[in-house]
Amino acid sequence: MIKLENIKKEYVMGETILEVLHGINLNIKKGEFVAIMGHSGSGKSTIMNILGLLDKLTSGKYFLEDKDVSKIDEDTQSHIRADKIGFVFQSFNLLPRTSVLRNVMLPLIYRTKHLSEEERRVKAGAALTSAGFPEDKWENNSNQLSGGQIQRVAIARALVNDPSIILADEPTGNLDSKTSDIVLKTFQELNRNEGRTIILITHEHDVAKYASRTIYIRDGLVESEYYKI
Amino acid sequence: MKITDLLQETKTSLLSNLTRTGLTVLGIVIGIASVIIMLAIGQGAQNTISSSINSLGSNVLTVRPGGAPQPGGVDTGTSNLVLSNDDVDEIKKLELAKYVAPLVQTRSQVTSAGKNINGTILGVTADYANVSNVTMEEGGFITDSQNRSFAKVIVLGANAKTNLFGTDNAIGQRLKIKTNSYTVIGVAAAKGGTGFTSPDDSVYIPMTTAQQYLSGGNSIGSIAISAVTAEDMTQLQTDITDLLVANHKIQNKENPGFRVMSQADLLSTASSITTMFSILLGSVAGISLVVGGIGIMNMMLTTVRERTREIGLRKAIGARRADIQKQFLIEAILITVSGGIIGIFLGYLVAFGITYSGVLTASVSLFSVLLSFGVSVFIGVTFGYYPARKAAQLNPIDALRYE
Repeated sequence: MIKLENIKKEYVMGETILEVLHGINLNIKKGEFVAIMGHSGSGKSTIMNILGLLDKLTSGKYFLEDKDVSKIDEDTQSHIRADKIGFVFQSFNLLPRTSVLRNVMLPLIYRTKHLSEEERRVKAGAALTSAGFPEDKWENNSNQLSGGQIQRVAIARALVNDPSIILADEPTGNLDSKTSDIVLKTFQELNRNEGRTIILITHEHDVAKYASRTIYIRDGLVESEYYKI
Repeated sequence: MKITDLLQETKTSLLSNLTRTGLTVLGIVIGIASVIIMLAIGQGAQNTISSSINSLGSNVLTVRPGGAPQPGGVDTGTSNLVLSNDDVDEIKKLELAKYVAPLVQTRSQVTSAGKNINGTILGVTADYANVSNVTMEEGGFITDSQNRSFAKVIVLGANAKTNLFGTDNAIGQRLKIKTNSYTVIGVAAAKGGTGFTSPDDSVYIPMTTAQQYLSGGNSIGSIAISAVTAEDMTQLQTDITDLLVANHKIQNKENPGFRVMSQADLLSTASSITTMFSILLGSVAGISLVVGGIGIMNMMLTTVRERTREIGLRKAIGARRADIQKQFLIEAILITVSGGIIGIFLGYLVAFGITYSGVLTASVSLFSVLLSFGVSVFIGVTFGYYPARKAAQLNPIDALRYE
C-alpha cells in the first residue's frame, strides 16, 4: 500500500543545508494501524508531510497504491490529497461559524469527481456516524462543541472522501486524557471494523499503544519497530 | 471545483464577517455613487445648455456677458459687462436686427392649488416668441404692455401646464411663484427638446416682472437677436459688438467682457466647457473609487492573514492553488460588484433628488452606469488579485501551523 525507499529530505536554510531524513525505508500494508513515534526534531513530522504529499522529498522513492508519487507536480499532489488522503490535525482546523455537516462536506468540493449536494450530505452523514458523532448536533456550529466532539468532526472530515490512508498528526495533543482515550478508540474501531489504514504521528507512548504497530524514528532514521501481539 | 461550490464558499466567508464586508462594500458604494452623480451633473449641465441653445430659432445671435474663451480655458480676469435695458433699446435701433429679445432666467418653484413644479422661469418680452419660435396652444404670449406695467401674468410651457393642471383648463387660473400670485394667460404649444429644461417645462413671465420680483435689479442675462436674413449674421454680429463697445466705452477690444455668438458658436463652446466640467467632476469621484479599491485590498490582505490556517487546511484536503486564488478573487469581485450595483442605485436616487430639489439638473446616462459597473469589476480584479495570489502561494505546512 505504502512503500518508502531510501527517502531523504533536506532543507536549505541560507548557506547551510539541513538533512532531516537520512534514508527512510518503510512498508505499510493496507488495513494497518501504525504509530510513528519520535521526539521533537526526530523527523516524524517531515515523514508525515511527505506521506501526506504536503512536501516534496529530496531523493528516494514513494509508492502510494503501487504508483510512484515521488516526482509529481503540485496540482497532481492536490488531486491525490483530495481523493486518497484524509488528514486529522492536532489543532482540529475546523472552519469557524460553519455547521458540523458543512465542515465534513468541505473536502468533497475539491474532489476530482463532482458530487451533488445530496450525495455529499449522505457521505458526510455516514462519515459522522463512523466517527461516532451524535446526529442531533450535525447542524451545530463548530464553535459550540467540546474538544472531543470537535476532533470527531475532524475525523469524520478525514473519512468523508473514503481515503486510502488517514494521517493523524498528534490528534490528541490538545485533548485531556479521557477525551484522548475516546478519540483513539474511535481510530481503533475504524481500523478494526472498517479496515481503514491509519498512520498516527505522536511523541507519547500512551497514544502509540493504541496502534497495532509502532515505528520509532530517531535522527531521521527508523530506529526500531515492533508489532503489538 | 465547480463554480457553484466556489460561490457557496465565498458567500459563507463574506457573511461570516458581515461588519467588515459591509464597510468595505460601503467604500465602493460611495465611490461608484459619486462617479454616477458627478457625471450626471455634468451631463445635466450639458443637456440644459444645449437644449436652451437649440430652443433658440435660426438666424439668431446671442449676446452674453463674459470673456471670450481662452486657449486652455484660463479666465483672463477682465470684468464682465452687465447687460441692461438700455443695451436692448440701442440694439433694437440697428437696421439688421429684426427682433430683439432680452432674457432673464431663474429657477424656482411654481405652485398651483396642491401641485407644484420646479421649472425654469424665463423673463421675456413679446419678441421672444418670434426669436425662439414659440407658438401658442391657447391664450396669448407675454406682451410689451404687460412688460411696461410689471404685470403678474404667466404663460406655461406644454409640460408645465400638464404637470400643474392635467387636462383641466389653465387660462385664468392663479399660480404662485415665491410670494406673488400670477394669472395664467396662455399655454405654449409643445416644442420638443431634450434635457430637464426643455422649453416645454419652462414658464414665461414679463421680463420686467422677473427683474422686479425674482432676480432683483435691472440686469439682463442675455439678449437674443434675430437677423433679417442668414447672410446678415456676420454683419449684425460686428454691428452689435461695435455698438456695445462704444456705449460701454470699452478699451480692451480684444476682450470686451461680452460675447456675441451664433447658435453654432454657442454649442461648441458650451460642449467644450461642459466636457471639461464632466472630466473634472468625474476625476474627483474617481479618486474616491480608488480609495475604495485600496480598502478592498486592505480587507482582503487582512482576511488572508486571518484565514491562513483555513487556507492551509483547504490545501491539505485537496484545494489546488487555482482553487484558492479563485475563491479569494471572487470574494473581492463580489464585494465590488455588489457595491457597484448599490452605488448605481444610490447615485441614481441622489441625481433624481438633486433635479427634484431644483438646484441643478442631473441626468444619469446609460454610459456612466455601464462605466461604473465596468470600473467596479475592474477594481475587484485589480485589488483582489494580489491578496488572492498571496493566499494561493501559501505553503500548506506553514499555513497549518500559523498561529
